[in-house]
Amino acid sequence: MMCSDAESHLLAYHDGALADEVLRAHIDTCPACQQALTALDDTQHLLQRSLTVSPSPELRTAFYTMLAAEKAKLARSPKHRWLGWWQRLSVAQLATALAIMFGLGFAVSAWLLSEPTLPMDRNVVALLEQSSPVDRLAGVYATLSLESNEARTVALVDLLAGEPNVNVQVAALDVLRREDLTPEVAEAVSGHLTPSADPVVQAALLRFVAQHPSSENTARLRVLLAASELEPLIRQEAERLLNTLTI
Amino acid sequence: MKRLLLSLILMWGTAWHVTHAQSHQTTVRLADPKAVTELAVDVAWGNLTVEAYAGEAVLVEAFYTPQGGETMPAEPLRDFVRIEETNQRLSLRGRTPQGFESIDVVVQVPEHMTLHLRIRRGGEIQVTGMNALVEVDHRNGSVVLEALGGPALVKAVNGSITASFSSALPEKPMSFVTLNGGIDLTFPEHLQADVWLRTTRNGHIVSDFDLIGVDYPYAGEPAEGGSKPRYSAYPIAIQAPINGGGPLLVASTENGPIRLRQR
Repeated sequence: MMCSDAESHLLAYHDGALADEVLRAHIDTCPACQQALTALDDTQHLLQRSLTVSPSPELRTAFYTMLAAEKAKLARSPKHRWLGWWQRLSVAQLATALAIMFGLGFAVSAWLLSEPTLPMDRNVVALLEQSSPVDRLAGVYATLSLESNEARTVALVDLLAGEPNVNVQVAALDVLRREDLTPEVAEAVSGHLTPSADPVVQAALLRFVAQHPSSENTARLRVLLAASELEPLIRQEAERLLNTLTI
Repeated sequence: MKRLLLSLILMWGTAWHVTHAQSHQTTVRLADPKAVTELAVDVAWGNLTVEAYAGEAVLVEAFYTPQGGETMPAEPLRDFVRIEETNQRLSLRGRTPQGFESIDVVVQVPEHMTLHLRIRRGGEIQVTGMNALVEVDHRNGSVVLEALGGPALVKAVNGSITASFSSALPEKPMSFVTLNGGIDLTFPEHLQADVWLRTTRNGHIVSDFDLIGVDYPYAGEPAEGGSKPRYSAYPIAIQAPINGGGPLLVASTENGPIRLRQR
């Protein structure tokens, strides 16, 4: 017999469920299998020691006392009394209630899993996506007709991210300057203030930044002022603004 | 006889081609005049003059001024201006300046073509009689647009903007913005617009149109007993409808006055 054959029978042999002479003869001559059998012995002793712990005589009494106290507490609780309403319902009423609960659960989960949508007018979106800058300028103006400030802000911030025409950018910034923006949105808009931006856009952004002071904007002004090619009027305005923000 | 006639035509054609190839002017006959709807002109230094005319071709002339020299015809034209026709756009691009040279470009175009004009460094831009969108991106120098029947989007950095519109005013938004310079706009009496006007410093806003909802006198109205508009050191911003309102009309300068005139 080989060790690999003996291995699968060792546990049964150890438990006394198998009396195989061939196996016994192999174990008697094989140190590895003897060692494995010894390990099984040790494990069994260890398990027996840990399982011999018996509960104290007071445990049963203490458990039932605690259970009675919890029951009494639940009986006094108004929440518990309210939870008992279903016990008074008929099967039909219970089925209806369950159907409503499932329906509500489904609707709520569908709402939670869906993409957030904003009440965006299709005409406004269509105008903002036109290839002609005149149409996009009309789109900027049309955002003022949107009832949702958030929708307007999202539309204009999206537009600014890729708008090449300076006239359209300036109009969009003018609208955004009048909005009540979150710090995150204000930061996204302020991010356009770079040394490479068009000077007319820089001027409009400096007005925007003046309304949204932050450490990021202070740093942005310093970067702008470090640029070698800056229109004198922009430099003058950026310096004035930086002094105001750092006071 | 037929052979003689054919030879004469070929000789004339070759002579015309050689003359024009060496000349400072050329006529760009568009493959499909209805398909090519835009003209883009882009130069570094120099003046741009664009005039609308009744033809279908685009006529291009260029003049060259070397550093410290006198203005002369830019011959041959192809050495100074690259002309390309792609899809719906005809592009004229001045060569990269060799020293402090300037190239003036004069173009005659069909009035219905959309214009995209750009001077990257300096010069003057003058446009007359166009009936389609005029888009201007200018750095240093003035912009003068006359007798326009289409909308305009004009951006200048250092320079004034003057624009006048014909009675066939488009119902389209328009915008005129500059960093340094005044803005002077003339419209027909029946202009309907929602105007956003802003001057940040050294300016005033004077309008021949009633700006509804704005208290008189406007900032810049002449002082009592005076005749010249005052200049304000502080920003002035006005938003108001004209003649009941209409498309957006933006005029914004960081440094200079704004004037709305009635024809």
